[in-house]
Amino acid sequence: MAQWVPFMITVSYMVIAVWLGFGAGKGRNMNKVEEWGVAGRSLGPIVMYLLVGAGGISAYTFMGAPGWAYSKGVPVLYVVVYLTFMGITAWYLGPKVWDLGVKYNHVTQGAAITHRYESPALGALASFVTSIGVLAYAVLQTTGSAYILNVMSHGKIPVWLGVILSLAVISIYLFKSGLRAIGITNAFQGALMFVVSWAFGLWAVKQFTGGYSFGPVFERVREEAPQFLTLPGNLGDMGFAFWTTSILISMVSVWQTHWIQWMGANTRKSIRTAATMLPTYYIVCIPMLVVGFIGIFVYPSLAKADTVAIQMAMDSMPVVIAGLLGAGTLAAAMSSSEPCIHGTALSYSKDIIQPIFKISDEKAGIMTRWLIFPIMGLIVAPISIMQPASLVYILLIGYGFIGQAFPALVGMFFWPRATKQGAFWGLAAGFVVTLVFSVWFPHPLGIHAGIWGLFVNLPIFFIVSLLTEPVSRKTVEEFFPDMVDELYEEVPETTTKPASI
Amino acid sequence: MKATFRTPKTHKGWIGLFAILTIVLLGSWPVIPLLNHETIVFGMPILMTWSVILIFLTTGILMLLNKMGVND
Repeated sequence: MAQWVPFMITVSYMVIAVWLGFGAGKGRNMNKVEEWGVAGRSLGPIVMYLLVGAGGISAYTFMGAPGWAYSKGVPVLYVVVYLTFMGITAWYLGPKVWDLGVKYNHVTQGAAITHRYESPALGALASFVTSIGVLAYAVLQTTGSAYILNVMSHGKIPVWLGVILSLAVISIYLFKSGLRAIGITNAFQGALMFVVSWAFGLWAVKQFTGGYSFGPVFERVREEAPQFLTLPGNLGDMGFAFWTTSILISMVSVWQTHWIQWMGANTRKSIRTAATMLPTYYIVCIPMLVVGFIGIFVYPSLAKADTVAIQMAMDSMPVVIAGLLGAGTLAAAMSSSEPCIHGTALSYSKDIIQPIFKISDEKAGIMTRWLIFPIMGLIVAPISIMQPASLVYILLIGYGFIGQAFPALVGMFFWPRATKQGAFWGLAAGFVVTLVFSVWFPHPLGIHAGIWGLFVNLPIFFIVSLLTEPVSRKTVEEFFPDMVDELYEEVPETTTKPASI
Repeated sequence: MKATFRTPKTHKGWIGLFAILTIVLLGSWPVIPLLNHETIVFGMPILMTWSVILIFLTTGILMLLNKMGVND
């Protein structure tokens, strides 16, 4: 009986998530995009903090990150640093995005791009290509969910059934309550993950060393395997250049999901407050990384590094701790996949389908929430079950595109002279370079492929913009009201004096 | 139309930009090599301790900028 306790705890988590998420939209008209898509712009700073914080913590934190600590050592810390710095991006851009959204009723990144560059085609293209990375990420998280259900049920729930179960759970509350469900479930998941990570990490340390200090763990690593404690790490693949450029490309990659989450805030101050505190949430990563370091000695030859934490939990932890880890990992996976599915449905509806078929806001609102079903049933579920070998490439391609949209955002907030041609050609060139340097010639000179993409993208963006016609004065006035006088300063006409007789 | 960039309009704005760039540098190439050794500080490898310091330093700086009223 005791062997089923972890499974029961994991299932209990799913039941609570459904209950919380389902009730979140009570009394609201979810057929309106403003409600389903951005929670009526009603989320306060605490929910925003946990919404964005938990969204940033994926199954990777509970499985992949301990796996990296186990196989590489300190290189994994770049994750902690880039998550921290994403708080800066949210602090800087979040309020600006929110202001624009409120003023011009944007809910998606694509809508803002369409407006700024006066090009529905560019907005639709950005929406579609960005969704490739976002959906690939949702697939990875769904696979993680299915894996957890499989392990916790001792193999009784096969992967295909785990995929269906986890998506079915998400679909119930996502359809019913939209971003409000994501907000409330992420708040619950965020708190759960924080508790689980520290409980599990401290338990592992206690069991390994007899105390609660991390010190003896790392003393032993220093004595027996010091290469884990310095860059480039045990596998020798994380130099200073790759560390730095990986952090930079992550900082400038503004995901569709982040954009929509910022839109859900009730005031710009709520975003600022949440973003200010956001880095503190990522302290959640530290105990899980320590677990990975302990694994170096407990499992000297584990076939799959990513399974180190879950293996340790199942082998040697009390059933309650193991169950909490299962629930925490499932929470991490679901809290990351549900914003991806929600954001893609919203973006496809508002940025692609509505402009092409010219449907009304009312119809678009009703259609948006129904779109989660084809997205889950026809894209996320089959790919999660099939696990194509090319998934990692799809993910790299998708990530590459998200980073390459950065110059388009520069044009939205900092450079009025940017044009749709500049944004398009810069993005296209940056995308190709990122693709080539991700797949065929990975990261030349130890510099991240996305940064190579920006090296090409940015000059093209600036040069092509300067060679093409700027957007109308009306649009410039809407996006840069404080700069209009300076930008359109009239050159005084030279007056010609009448010739003296 | 001029090709001007939007830059901070106030001293506070420039201080904010400078502070953010400083934090980013503290977590990347110029500083990380200085900390790349096997020393253990507060029971953790120095790079891990530094990552935790960066977490609180970032929040601290952002709180300070909020208090200063930096908006651009």
